[in-house]
Amino acid sequence: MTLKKYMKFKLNRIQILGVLLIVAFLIFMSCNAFLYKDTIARVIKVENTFDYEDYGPNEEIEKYYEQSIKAVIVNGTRKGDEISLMNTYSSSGINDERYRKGEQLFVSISEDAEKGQILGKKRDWYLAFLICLFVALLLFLNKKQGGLIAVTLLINIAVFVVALQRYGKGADLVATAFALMLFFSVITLLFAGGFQRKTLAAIVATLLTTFLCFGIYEIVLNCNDRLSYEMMDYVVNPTDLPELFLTGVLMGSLGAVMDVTISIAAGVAEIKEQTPDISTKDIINSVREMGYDIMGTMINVLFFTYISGSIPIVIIKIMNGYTLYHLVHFQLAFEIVRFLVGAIGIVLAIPVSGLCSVLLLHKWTPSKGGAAK
Amino acid sequence: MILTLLILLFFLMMIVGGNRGVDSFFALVGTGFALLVEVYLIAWGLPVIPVTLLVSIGIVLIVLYVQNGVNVKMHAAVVSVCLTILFVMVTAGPVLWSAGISGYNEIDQYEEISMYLSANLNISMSAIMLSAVVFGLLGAVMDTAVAITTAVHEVYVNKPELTQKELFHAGLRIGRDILGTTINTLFFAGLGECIMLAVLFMKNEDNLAYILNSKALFQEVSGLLIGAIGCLIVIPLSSYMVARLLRGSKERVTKEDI
Repeated sequence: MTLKKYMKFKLNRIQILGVLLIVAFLIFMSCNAFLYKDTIARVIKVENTFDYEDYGPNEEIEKYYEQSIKAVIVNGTRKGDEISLMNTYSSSGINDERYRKGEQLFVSISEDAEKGQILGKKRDWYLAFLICLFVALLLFLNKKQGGLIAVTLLINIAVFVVALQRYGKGADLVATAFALMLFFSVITLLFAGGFQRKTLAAIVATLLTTFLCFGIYEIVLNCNDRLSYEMMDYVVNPTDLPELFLTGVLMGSLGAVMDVTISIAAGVAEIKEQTPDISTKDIINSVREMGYDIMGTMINVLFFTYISGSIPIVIIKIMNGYTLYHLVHFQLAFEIVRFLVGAIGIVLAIPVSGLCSVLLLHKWTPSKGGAAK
Repeated sequence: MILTLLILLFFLMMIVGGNRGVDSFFALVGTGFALLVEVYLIAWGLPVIPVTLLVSIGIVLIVLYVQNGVNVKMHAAVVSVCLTILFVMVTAGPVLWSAGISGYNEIDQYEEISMYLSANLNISMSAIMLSAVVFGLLGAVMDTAVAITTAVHEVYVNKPELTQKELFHAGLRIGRDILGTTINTLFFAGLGECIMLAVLFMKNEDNLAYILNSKALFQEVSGLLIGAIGCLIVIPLSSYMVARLLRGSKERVTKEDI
C-alpha cells in the first residue's frame, strides 16, 4: 500500500482557489520591484575568475574569486539599462556572498554611470515562499483549526509590533513585556481552547508559572556574577540590555509553558468528563503521569530550537582556536540561560497547572459535577 | 549562573518527574554532548552534510529509544522522523542555498567578531546553515511524531479491529489537535530570540524593505518556518508509518506492548 492511496487529493473549489491565490502571490512577489524605491537589478551574466589564495589559522587554503556581473535594472527611472557590477567571494562564504544568474540585487548607482555597487540580495521572495508553504500545508492538513492557528499567529505578531513601537517611544520595558505576555497567553489559549473553564485554568497556570520563572531568574541572577551582556547578539543600547534579555527569556518560554498548561488542563477536564466523581488524589496521580510524558519531549523542543542557531558561529570560533570554556561562558551563555529558564518553566508548569486545574475544574465547580466541558 | 540553573533544573525534574525525570535529564545531557561532537567533527574538516545526517539520526535513535523504550511505536516514530530530516534536507537545502543566508549577516559584519575571526576556513557555510536548520527542527518533529505514534497505538489497543486506513485517519486527527500548541511553542521561542533583532531594527529606523530583505531576519525566521513545516510533514508520515506497522505486524505487537 502506498501513501498516495490514503491522501486522495480531492481538492474542493476553495482549496483550488487557495492554491491559485498562493501561486499568483508568489509570481507577484518575484516581480514586485516596482514597489521599491531602491534600485534593483537582475543578474543576466556572471563571469567568475580565480583571484588569490589565502591561508587560515589551521593551514586551510581559502580560494577567493572575483565576479564581474552584468545586470539589468528592473525599476526606477533607469529601468532597462544594463550595468556592470563587481563582487568577490570566497570558497567558504563566511564574510561574502556569491551571486548567480537570475538573482535580483539591490544596487546603488549614480546618475548616468555604467558601474554600480552591490548593496545586497533581494530575499523577500524566499521569505514569502516559506511562509506560503507553511500556510498551505497548515490549511491543507487542517482547514478550520489551521486557519485559527494562522489567525492567532498574525494577531500575536501584530501586537508584538505595536508593543515594540510603544517601547520605542519610551514605554517602560518590563511593564510592556508583562502586558504583552498577559495578552499573548489569553489570546493564544482562547483560540486554542475556546471559552471554557479549562482555558481559564490554563491561563492562570501560565501566568503563575511565568511569574515563578521571573522570580527564580531574578534570584539566581542576583546570587551570581552578572552576565556579560555585551557579548549578546545584536547588542543595541547598553542601558537596558538585562531587561531586554529577560523579556526574551520569558517570552521564549511562554509558548512551551502554554503547551504544558493547556495539555494538562485539557487532560484533567477529560478525566472529569469520563468519571465525574473521581477523587482529588487520583486526579493528582494522573497529572503526574501526564507530566512525565510531556516533560522530556518539551524540553527537547526548546533545547534544539535555541541551541541550533549558534552552530555556525560556534564552528567558526572553534576553527579559530577558541576553547570550549570560552564558548560556553561567552558565546553560548545566553542561549543556555534562555534554554535553562525555559526548561525550568516547563517543569514548574506541570505542578502549577495541575494545581490550577484541580482547583478550578474539580474543587470549585458547581455541585452539578462535570461542569468543565 | 549556568551551573546554578542546571542544578536547579535537575532537582526540579527529579521532584516533578521522579526516575523518569532523571532519565530525561541525562538524555538531555547526552543530546548536548552529541551536538558538541557534531560541531567538533565539522570543525575538524569532516564533510558537513554526512556528519549532520549521522549525528541527527544518532540523536533521534538515542532520544526516542532511551526515553520511550524499544517498541513498534518508536520504530514508526524513528522512521518518520528520519524521513522528515531527509525530506527537509533535500527540499529546504536549495531554498536556503539560493536565498544566500550563510555566513555573517549585515549586523554581524559590523561587529567586532567578524574583524577578529579569520574567514579563511575553507568550509561551506551554506551546508553548516542547513545543518543548523536540521537540528533546529529535530526537537519539535520528534515531539510531534512520538505524540502521534503513542496515541494511535493507544487507539489500536482499545479498538484492535480498526483497519490501517482508519488508524491513519485517527493519527491525522490527533495531529490536528497537537499541531497548534507545537507551532505556538516554536513561534514564541523564535519571538524571544528575535527581540534583540527587532529592537535593533527599530532603533536603526530601518524601513520595511530593508528588514524584509535582510539576511539577519531570514536567518532567524527561516529556521522557525522550516521547523514548523517539518512538524506539518511528520504528521501524515508518522500516522501512515504507525498504522502500517501496527496492521502489518499484529502478532509481534500484541506480544510486546499490550
